[in-house]
Amino acid sequence: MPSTQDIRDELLAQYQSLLPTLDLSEGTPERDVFVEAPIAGALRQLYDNDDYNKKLFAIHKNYKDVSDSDIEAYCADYDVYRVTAKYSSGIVTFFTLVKPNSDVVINSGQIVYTNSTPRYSFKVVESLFVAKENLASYYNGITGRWEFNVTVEAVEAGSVYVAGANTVSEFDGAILGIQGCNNSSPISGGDDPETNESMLERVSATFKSRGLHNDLGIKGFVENYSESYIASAGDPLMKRDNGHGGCVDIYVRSVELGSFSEVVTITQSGLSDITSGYGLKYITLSKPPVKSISAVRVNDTPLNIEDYELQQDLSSVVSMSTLAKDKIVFKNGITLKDNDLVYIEYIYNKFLYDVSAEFESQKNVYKGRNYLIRELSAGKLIISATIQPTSGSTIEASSPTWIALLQSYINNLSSGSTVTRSDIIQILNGISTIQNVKLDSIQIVDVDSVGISTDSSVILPKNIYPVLSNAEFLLWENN
Amino acid sequence: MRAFEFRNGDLVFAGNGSYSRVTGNDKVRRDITKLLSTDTEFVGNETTYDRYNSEYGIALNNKKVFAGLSRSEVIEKINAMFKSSLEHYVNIQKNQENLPLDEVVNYFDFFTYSDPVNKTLIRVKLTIYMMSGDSMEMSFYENIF
Repeated sequence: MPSTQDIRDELLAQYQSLLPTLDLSEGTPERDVFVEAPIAGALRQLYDNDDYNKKLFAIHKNYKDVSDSDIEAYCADYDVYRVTAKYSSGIVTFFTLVKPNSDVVINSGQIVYTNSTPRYSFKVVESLFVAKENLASYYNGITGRWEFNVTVEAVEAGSVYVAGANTVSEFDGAILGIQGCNNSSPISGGDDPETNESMLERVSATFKSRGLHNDLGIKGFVENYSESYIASAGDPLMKRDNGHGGCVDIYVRSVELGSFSEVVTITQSGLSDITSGYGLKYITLSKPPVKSISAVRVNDTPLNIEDYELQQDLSSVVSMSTLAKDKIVFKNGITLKDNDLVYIEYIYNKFLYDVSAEFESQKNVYKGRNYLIRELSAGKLIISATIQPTSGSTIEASSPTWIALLQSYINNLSSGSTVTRSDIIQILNGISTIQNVKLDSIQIVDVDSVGISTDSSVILPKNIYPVLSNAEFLLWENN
Repeated sequence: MRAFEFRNGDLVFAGNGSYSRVTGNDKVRRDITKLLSTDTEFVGNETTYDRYNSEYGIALNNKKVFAGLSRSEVIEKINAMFKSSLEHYVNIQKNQENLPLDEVVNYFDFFTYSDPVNKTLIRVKLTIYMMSGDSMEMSFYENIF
């Protein structure tokens, strides 16, 4: 592309050849009117636009010089849309050790905080109202507390806004009858908006397949909503087709919690029918995967929390999917009988149903296949390292930042990734408050043994993504 | 050199429908007027595109440089600005070929003073001597205080 000076020289040369006696020296009105004004008013912009348009024709090569909106418009032509930033979500338990004297109301938008530094905020997604007469079903005899589970999501979207288990312990203002709050499980799932590079990679994939008739096409469609992994015939993760093909498992990473309540009427014939979904001591829940049970009433009598438990289907061929056999199992001698009316309120992963509805609504979805939307699961990792902080820094003061940086790296890795010692060393070495890292001290622990561990890495299966559960740092006293 | 007549920022038409032209001393008078009515580029007066002649003109409108100066210091400052600006013009002429003698400045002289009636004005009386032997006078004033 010509520079402004190139354009100027070209115009001056043309004028000088046509009007050799015209004074176009510096500062003359003729120079301003015939040379500089056209450059500033139109020519510069025309050349710039021309250059930009040339880059649009090779957008995969020049994407760094092209605007986000133009990349989005280009990708939309291939039915590829940017995956928006995701909010972490989880469950927070509000509790009290003293039985409330009135109804308990936890409003949507109620803010809770982590006790860590930096302090992250989460808000209650759906209001919870518990009438005074139903309080008994929220009593947990094990902890001696009345407990109220609500779904929360991060106030800000992004992969950073997460909370480890038992780190949320403060809430805004006062709630009548509530003494405290806690999260027994991590609040996670937040993700940054999809990058331009990732979108363009997905466009490239559509050149191989744009329809929903094969894995690539399905992946291209589902990844408009979430990171995904598609397991179909021949894939070691495909267990449902007995080797005959025809089934497609669509694993998605995003989680969006929602609450659901259902009422089950127990009949004598149902109790003896294994296809009814319930038995004397259990009821199969209709919106799996279920994350927690909030309240249960049998014939309007509230059950205490210790009278039942959630039994998640974690091992069957349809585990962690919309067909998983998650159950409420009754304990302490409670059995169901004819004409019982059982009310169950629980929290489930609504996202799978949203994606399923979007997928099934596609006109060109191949009807002969058996599709199943299921969760990618998190592989928890703990990292330990012996560190020499820089002068003036301490492990105690700096480790929250170090952990956040490691989290930012590991939590953004896709499913099936390999986490290596060299990656960890590279990240730690790039931190300004770390002087030195003892190389052979780095350990990566696969908490639930879901992957393949070697001395220097953890290799995760295709349906498991890595999540940093914790990091521990020891002082390297390099004497 | 061929130059068009400009008046109040517009080209002037001659009676026959063509553009009116200026030559000789009148062209120099036009060029000096243009020079001294154009701001150089200074902080607060940056052009929005790649200006090729950021040193062309005079910085009389950059009032910050006069802040806190006495009347005599202001006059000294304006003298320096005029000298620098006119020398720049002379250098431009030196880079041009085939200029007629009545368009070439040989040297210039100027006198800067406070207006005896309106004390907020500074006046400059400029005399330009051409290579042809002609001379012409121009007057300028600027409200500084």
